[in-house]
Amino acid sequence: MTTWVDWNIFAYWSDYDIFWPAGCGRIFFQGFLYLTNNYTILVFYVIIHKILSIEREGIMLFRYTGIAVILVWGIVFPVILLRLQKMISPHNPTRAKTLTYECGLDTQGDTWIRFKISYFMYALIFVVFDVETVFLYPWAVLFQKLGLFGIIEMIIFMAILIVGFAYAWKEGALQWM
Amino acid sequence: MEINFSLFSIEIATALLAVIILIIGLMIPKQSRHILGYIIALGLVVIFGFSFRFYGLNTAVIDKMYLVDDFSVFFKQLFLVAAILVILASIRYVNKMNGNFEFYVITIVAALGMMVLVSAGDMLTLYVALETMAISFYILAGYKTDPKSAEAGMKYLILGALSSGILLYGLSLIYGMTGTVIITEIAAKIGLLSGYSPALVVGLVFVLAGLGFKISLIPFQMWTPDVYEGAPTPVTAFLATGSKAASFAVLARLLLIALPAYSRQWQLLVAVLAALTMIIGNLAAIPQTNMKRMLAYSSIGQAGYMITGILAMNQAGVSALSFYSVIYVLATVGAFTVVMTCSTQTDSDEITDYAGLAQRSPLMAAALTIFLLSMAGIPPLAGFTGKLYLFKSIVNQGYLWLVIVGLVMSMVSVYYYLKVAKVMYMNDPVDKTPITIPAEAKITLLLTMIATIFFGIYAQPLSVLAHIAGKALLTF
Repeated sequence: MTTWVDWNIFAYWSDYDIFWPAGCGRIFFQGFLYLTNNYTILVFYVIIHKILSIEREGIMLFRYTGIAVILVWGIVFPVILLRLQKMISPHNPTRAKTLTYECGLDTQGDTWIRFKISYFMYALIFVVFDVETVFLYPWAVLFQKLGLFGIIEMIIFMAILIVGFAYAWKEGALQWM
Repeated sequence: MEINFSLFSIEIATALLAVIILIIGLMIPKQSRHILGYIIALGLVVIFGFSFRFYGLNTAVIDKMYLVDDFSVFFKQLFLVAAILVILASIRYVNKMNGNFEFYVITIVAALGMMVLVSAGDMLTLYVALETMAISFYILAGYKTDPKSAEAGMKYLILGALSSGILLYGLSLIYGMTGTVIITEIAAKIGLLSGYSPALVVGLVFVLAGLGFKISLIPFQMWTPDVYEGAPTPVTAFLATGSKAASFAVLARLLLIALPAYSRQWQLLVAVLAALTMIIGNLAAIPQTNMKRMLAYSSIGQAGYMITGILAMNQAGVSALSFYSVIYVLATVGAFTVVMTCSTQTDSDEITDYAGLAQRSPLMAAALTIFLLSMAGIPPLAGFTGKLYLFKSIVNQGYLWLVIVGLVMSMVSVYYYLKVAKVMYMNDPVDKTPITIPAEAKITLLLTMIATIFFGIYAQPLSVLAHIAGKALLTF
C-alpha cells in the first residue's frame, strides 16, 4: 500500500512553524495515507500549496492566506481526528459502559429534574470570594512595592465585597429553605 | 504612576452613593425603605451641581485611558438629570411594584456605567463600562414579577449578549489592525497603514452593529418594542434615554475620533441606516395600540434623526447631537412619567385607556401632548430647535435627500402623536375618577415640561453648552 507522493509540497509547510515543526507534517501524512489510503486530504494540500505558491510568485491577492490556511486546517483537522478514531478504535458498547458514571452508583430515574435553586445562590456567593482571592494573590506579591496606596485600595475592594456579602446574607441567600 | 483621583470625583461619588444606599437599605426596616429614593435623588442633585466644575478641564488620565473632556462632562450631566428625573418619577411605582430598594441601587450603577462609557479613552474601558450599563439593565428589565417583564429581561439579555459579542469582535479587529486600544491614537495608527484594509472595515461594521443594537438602529431594533413594553416603565424610561444617549456619545467618539479615515465607507452606511431607521421607526409606530410600544417605535425614529449628527462629521453635527440628546431625554422621560402614573391607577398601557385624560388629569394630558409634539418637532417646542440644528449640520454636506426623508417622516410622526392627543382630549373617559399625580412625579413632569418649552423658546444656554461639548470632542 505504498504510494509515491511528491513530498516536495510539504517542504514549504515547514516554513510555517505555527502549524507544526519541520517534518511533522510529512510523518503525519505518510502515516495517515498508509493507514487510510485516503487522498482527499492530500487534494486540499495541493490546492493550498498552489495558492501559497501564487503568493510566493508575488501576486498580492492572497494577503490573508495564513488565515485561510488556518481556517481550512481548523475544519479539516477535527474531521481527520474523528475519522481516525472511528477507524482505529474497537467499537463494543455494553450497558455498563454507556452509563453516565461508569463506576459508582447507578443513576436513578430521569436526569432532567428540578433541583433546588439554593445551590445556585451558594455558587454565586462563592464566586464573590473566588474573585477576591484571584485579586489578592497579585496584590500580596506586590505588597511591598504598592505601599499605603495598595492597602487602602484593597480595603476599598474588600469593603465593597463585604457589603455585597452582607446584602446577600441579610436578604436570606444563605438560608436553606 | 501618579493618578489625579479628583478627576474621577463624579464617578467615585456616584459609586459611593450606590454602596451607601445599599448599606442604609440593609439597616433600616423594610417598610421605611422607600425614603431611599429621596436620598438618592438628593445625592444625585448634589453630584449634578458639583459636576459643573468639571467643564474646561479637558485632560486625559492614566495613559489616555480615561478622558475628562467637556463632551463627556456634558453627557454625564445628562445621565445624572435623567437618573434624577426617573428616580423621582418612579418612587410610587417602585413602592407598588414590591418596594425593593435594589431598584435604585442598580439604577445608579447603570448611570455609573454610562458615565464611564462616555469618558472611556480606550476600547477596554469602553467595553467594561458598556457591560456595567447593560448588565444593570438586564436585571432591571426583568425586575417585575410578571411573565412579560421576565420575557423582556430574557430577550434583552440574550440579544444584548449577542450584540456585545459582536461589538467586542469589532473592537478586537480594530485592535488587531492598528495595534492600539487607545481611541485617540487609532487614527494616527491607521494613517501609518499602507492603503485600504478590509479587516478594518469589517471591524468598523461590527462596532456599528454592536452599538447600533443599543441605539436601536434599524436592522438591530427588533428587541426595542418588546423590551420597552415588558420592562417596568421607569426602567423603560431610563433605558430609552440614558442607554441610548450614552451609546450615541461613544459611537460619535469611535467614528469621529478613531475612524475618520474610513469615513467614505461608514458615511454611506450610516446615511442609509439613518434613512431606514427614520422611515421604518415612524411608519411602524402608526398601527400601535399600546402606548409603550408606540413610544418605543417613536424612539427608534428619533434615533434615526440623532445619528445624522454623527454623519455630519463636524463640530456643528456633534453639538446638534448633544443638544438633541438633552431634548430627547427630557421629552421621553416626561412621556414615560405620564405612562407610569397612569398605569399605577388604570393598570393598563393601552392608548384607548387614555381616553378623556384631559378630564381626569388636565396636567398630564397637557404635558403628554407637549412632549409628543416636541418629539414631532412642532415649532415653539424644543424638539423643533433640536431638529433644526441636526438637519442644518448635514444639509450642506450633500445629504439633502436625508433631510427631506427626515422632514417627511417628522410629518408622519405628527399623525400618530396627535392621534394620542385626540384620544386624550376628544374622547370621553370610561372611568371618570380623576387621576392623582404623586408629588414626586409632579416634580418630574413640571421640570421636563418647563424645560421642553423653555429650550424651544430660548435655546441659548443649552446650545452654548452643546457647542462646548461638540468642540471638545473634535479638538481634544
